[in-house]
Amino acid sequence: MTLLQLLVSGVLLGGLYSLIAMGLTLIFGVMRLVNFAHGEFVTLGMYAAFWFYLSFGGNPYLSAILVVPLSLVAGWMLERTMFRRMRSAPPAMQMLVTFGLSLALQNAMLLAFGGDYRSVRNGFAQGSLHFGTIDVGVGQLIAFVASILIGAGLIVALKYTRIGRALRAVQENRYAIALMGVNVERLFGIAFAIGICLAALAGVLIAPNYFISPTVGGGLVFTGFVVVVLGGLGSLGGAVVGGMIIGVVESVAGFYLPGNLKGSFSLAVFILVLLLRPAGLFGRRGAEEVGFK
Amino acid sequence: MTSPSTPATLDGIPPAQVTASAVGWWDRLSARLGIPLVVGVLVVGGLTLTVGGNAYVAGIAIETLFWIAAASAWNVLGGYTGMLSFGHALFIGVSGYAVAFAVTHGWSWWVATPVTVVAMTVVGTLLLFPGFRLRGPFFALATFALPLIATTLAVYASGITGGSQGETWPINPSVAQFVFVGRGPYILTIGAIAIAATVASVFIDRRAIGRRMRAVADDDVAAEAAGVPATRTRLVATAVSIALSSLAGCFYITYVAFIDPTSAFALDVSLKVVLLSILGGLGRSYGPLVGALVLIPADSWLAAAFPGGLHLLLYGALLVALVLFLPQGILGGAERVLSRLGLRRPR
Repeated sequence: MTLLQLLVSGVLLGGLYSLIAMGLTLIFGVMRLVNFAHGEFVTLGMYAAFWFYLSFGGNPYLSAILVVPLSLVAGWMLERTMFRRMRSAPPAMQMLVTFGLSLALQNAMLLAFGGDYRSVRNGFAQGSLHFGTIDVGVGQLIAFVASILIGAGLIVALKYTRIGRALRAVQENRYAIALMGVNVERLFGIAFAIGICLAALAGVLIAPNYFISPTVGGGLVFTGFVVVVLGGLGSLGGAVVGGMIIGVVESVAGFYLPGNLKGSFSLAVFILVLLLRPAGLFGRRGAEEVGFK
Repeated sequence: MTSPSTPATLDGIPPAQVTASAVGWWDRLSARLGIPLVVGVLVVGGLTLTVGGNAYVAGIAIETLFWIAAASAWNVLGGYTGMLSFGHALFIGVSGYAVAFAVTHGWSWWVATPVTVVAMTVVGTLLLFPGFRLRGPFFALATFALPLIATTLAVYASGITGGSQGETWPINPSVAQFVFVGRGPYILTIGAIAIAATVASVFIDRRAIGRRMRAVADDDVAAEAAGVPATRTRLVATAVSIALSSLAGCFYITYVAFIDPTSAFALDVSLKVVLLSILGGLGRSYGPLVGALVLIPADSWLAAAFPGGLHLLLYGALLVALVLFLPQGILGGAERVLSRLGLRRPR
């Protein structure tokens, strides 16, 4: 294992973390909601890919055709029925609701699909390419490239489209933009739907390379939180860069640290960032102290 | 009702006014606490004498009392002071480990517990202190990560913690090691801790420190401008909350008699203290008590009636429904009903 190999694997892993983190950070930036149930949507995306692969055979990535519209609708409905009702509730309540949602979804999946590990068999995605001494899994490469493309597309859309500008404005000041006559409630729905869609897409992309079980998403999304905090809560570019950093850190630390300490390393990074620079690399400084009323 | 320190008269001031302003805090407090304290002692004493032999009922009583104590401890920090900790399992778990380590190395539980509580309070407060400038979701995320780190460290430090195998409590009956055959002593001890936690909540609620905590929770900048020492108030709230959590943790390990990294620092524990406080009423002195009295017996019934995932599915759904439909908790809802009926002045 050369350091170069570790770096390459880390960056590939980081692309995936970026995709998960972008959904989290978009939802947080616009709605000020820490979505602890994000991981369950990643898991749902994985099960969707698995089910698609079982029913139609062949390429699990094609399930994205179904997953994208379904997750957008699900996110929109969830926002309307659940989070719209508690807009003025204190943040503890809102976080607790997403915890409750996470618990309910995870156990609903456990009941529906059982606790067994499932896996998608796909020779193409599970093959690997060799560049000199470096091995690159095709599945990881696809997930990485797709994540980067989706991320870049999202950043461009936020920059240049009308809705994108409105979404950025609502992050800046939701009251001011409401006074400008923009329908803020609709923006919340859009942001949540896009965030959930990104999570489900991440699930589809990693389905060929991970074992699928009801709890797999929860673990991934904790890393997503680390990434979001490192990049700066609410910053999409920060999510991309933070994802790469955490991916590389995890892959290098995972090689040099004993196995059972591996997990605590990125957590320690997380706490250090929160304490030393809570706004993250690209977040607005001071945001953590205002506390987002 | 005059305390010994009250002067009989003061020149130029009517005696009635003197007593009103100079009555000792203890007298004012005992007037508020008298009846609840007596009820609490009677209930715990009665439970100890009656259900000590029935392991099932005693188990529910012990669990309920434990969660009253643990949730009341959380409520001081998360409810009154508005510092939303999602990692209180850390203090309960570390204390359990510390006591288990001490007792398996020949200490008496009765000595190990006060030492652990003091040490945990100091260490825990120092640990949270740098996080005092984090607000809302940031503080919640930081505290959320603490038990996760503790889990991996506990697995790693297997020389002290027994690693992922866990640590077992001694099994031979012994007063020093807190091992008893019947359930009576357990109910009595955790009952005393639950009463202490509730009394501490009522004390805080009625005293200036409680008003300072609420002021810090509402708007710390305004509070500080009005002369409330925000950092000192946060320190007090953190220390009280950790001390009570630690005390509950020191007891809980004697009852379950086993500790391992995943159960000690379970997300479930961190969440349950929040849930019970919100169910009863966030930032109310009797909120966690009411929440635990309602949910913990129902929970053990649910777990028995719906084993496996369905139980947790219902639990999650309950959590969502609760926040959506009863955000003020049971006490807040009851208050609203009473004031609508004209039986109570609205707050």
